[in-house]
Amino acid sequence: MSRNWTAARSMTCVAALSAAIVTLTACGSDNGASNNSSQSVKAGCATGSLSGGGSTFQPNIEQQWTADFAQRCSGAQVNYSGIGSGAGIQQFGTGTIDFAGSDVPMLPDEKQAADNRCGGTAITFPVTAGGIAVIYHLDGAPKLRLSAATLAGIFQGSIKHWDDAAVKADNPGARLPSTAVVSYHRADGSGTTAVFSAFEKAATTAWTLGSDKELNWTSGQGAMGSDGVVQGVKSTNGGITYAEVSYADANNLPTASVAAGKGDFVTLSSDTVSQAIDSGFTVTGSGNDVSGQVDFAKLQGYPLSTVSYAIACSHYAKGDTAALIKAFLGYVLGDGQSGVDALGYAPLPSSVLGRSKAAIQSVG
Amino acid sequence: MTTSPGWSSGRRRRGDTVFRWSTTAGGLVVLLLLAAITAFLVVRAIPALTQDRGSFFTTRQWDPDGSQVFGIAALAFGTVLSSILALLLAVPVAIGAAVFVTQYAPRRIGIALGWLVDLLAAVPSVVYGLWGYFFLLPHLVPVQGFLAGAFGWIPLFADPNGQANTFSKSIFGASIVLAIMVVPVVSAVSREVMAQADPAQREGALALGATHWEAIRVAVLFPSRPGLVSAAMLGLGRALGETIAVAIVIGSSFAIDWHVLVPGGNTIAANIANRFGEAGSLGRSALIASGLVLFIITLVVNLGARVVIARSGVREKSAAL
Repeated sequence: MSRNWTAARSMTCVAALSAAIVTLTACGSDNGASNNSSQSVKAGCATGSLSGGGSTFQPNIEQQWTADFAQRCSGAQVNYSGIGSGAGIQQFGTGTIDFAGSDVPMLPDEKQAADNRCGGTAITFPVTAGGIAVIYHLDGAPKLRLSAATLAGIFQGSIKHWDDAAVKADNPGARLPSTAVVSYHRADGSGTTAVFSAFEKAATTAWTLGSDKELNWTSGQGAMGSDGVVQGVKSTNGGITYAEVSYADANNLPTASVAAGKGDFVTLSSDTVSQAIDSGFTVTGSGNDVSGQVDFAKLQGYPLSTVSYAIACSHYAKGDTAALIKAFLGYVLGDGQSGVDALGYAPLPSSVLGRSKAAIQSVG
Repeated sequence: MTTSPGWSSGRRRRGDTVFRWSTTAGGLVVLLLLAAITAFLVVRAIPALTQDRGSFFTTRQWDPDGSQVFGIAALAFGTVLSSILALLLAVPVAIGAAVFVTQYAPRRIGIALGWLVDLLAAVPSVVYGLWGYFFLLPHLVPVQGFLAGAFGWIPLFADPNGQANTFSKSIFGASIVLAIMVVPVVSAVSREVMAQADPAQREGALALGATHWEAIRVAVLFPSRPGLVSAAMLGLGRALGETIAVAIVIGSSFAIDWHVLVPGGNTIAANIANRFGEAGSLGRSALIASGLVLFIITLVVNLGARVVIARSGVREKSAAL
């Protein structure tokens, strides 16, 4: 699906390129004058190369974005590597990379380092949204529905078999096998764990492990990376884990509908995630700091939803870098938002998108 | 190991001088590197050691960026246990292979086999890790079940919660992967050591009516002991420090649990690999502090091996006298 989408884009660019040959300007210059860039560069484009890195939630979509951006703007090259949100923030702070991707806003000391690097302020704003799927492998079971309290029991080891009363209560009338529950969690620090545990902590008092990128798990098995936990589930009848939804699709594993508290069970989809961010995401930063948190109490839609951020400088010493950052992230927040659902992400709702766009416009 | 001729010779040519100083510089660089690594580890570990709200040596959890409670107890335990188990599995195989290659096999086959064993060392450790996770662990499930059923009375193989029969990332699985990685190291050194054994002694033993096995034991294995111990210690060092393969196959829990078949276990190196990407500043410092502990453990193991070798060497000499 995403492949077709890329193909469609490249067709557009081929057309634009032929136009460019006629007018002696780059890829589709029909938009008229470009801001400050040289005349040969298309509006919303800039040339040069950028390096970004961080969140392991973003690489799939960043790959799509960077490829499309390179096609749209000749002479522009953006690289993104999924090295982990913490490492991304650290490398951004030391000036190794031009922008970072992160699943969580920076901590005060990280913000300080980032501000120092920028020689001004570092800005944080959402670039995409996504849902964390509850992925399971249970032979002979129907499509499961699991409440926050049941998930707490499963991941904290108090629910040992799939025909437990709590699972039955969530799935009235369903025939459940008595297979043993084997839960897999991330052994490495992960924004996915942070989102999952933040949801559990807010939604049920049964959750006692707190909320962080890494937890002191008392049961279940740890595995490295989303690949690792999903492979564990795949190998184990009775296995369950949480991971980005694309991993469920890639491995043909079912995902559960999830309910916060006594709410209704919601199935993960691009729409239900966007709805959740629209209703539940509150910006806590001020001005161009669009970091915030998801308020699970007032959220409607798929509860295990989150936004993922980009972190950039509001000012770059090199004007070229600033122009390119602005062009790339401007594209990400514009045309880049369509088609993300094919990769398991959800477009940002307009309420958040407006704030993010204002933030990237301020870069100079 | 005796006085080097370069230092003692009276007449020196320019080439000698250049050579002498470049080798001295080489030696010094190694020492400086070691000192620099130690200094780096100590300096970076200090914030973690001073700000730990738990006890660094006895706490069994790892939360430096949140509650600031963390400790290496479970990590050090898992590191040592998995490495020792790996060594117990690997050394007999490695020495057996070395004996076969040097004493039994026809020369050509021996060389080819030795080369193949060495090739095992060239496989990247991440490949061992992925192989372990995607192939070995699923196939270990029945073995775990058998061990728990037949040898469950040994605490090591006990299965208190009935988990042995499921796909599990455990110390057992990690030890097997480590053992496979250690075999080529131990085998290569053992082979070199045994090749040094005097063939005349073995022939003499055979001439005196010893069986093949007795001749090898007396004339090959016995004099090779110090070398075999150092081979094993080299393997132990490899196992203690192995990072990514273990990180992929071990269960990453923070409990001290002797039951090697049940999900869990963790090592210092695996924990660093798992946690470094998302660690905050104190978290990074805490991981480096755990690295310092690993460094000390490896140093102690190596020094211990030297002592063992030196002692047995002395005994040999006095026996010879």
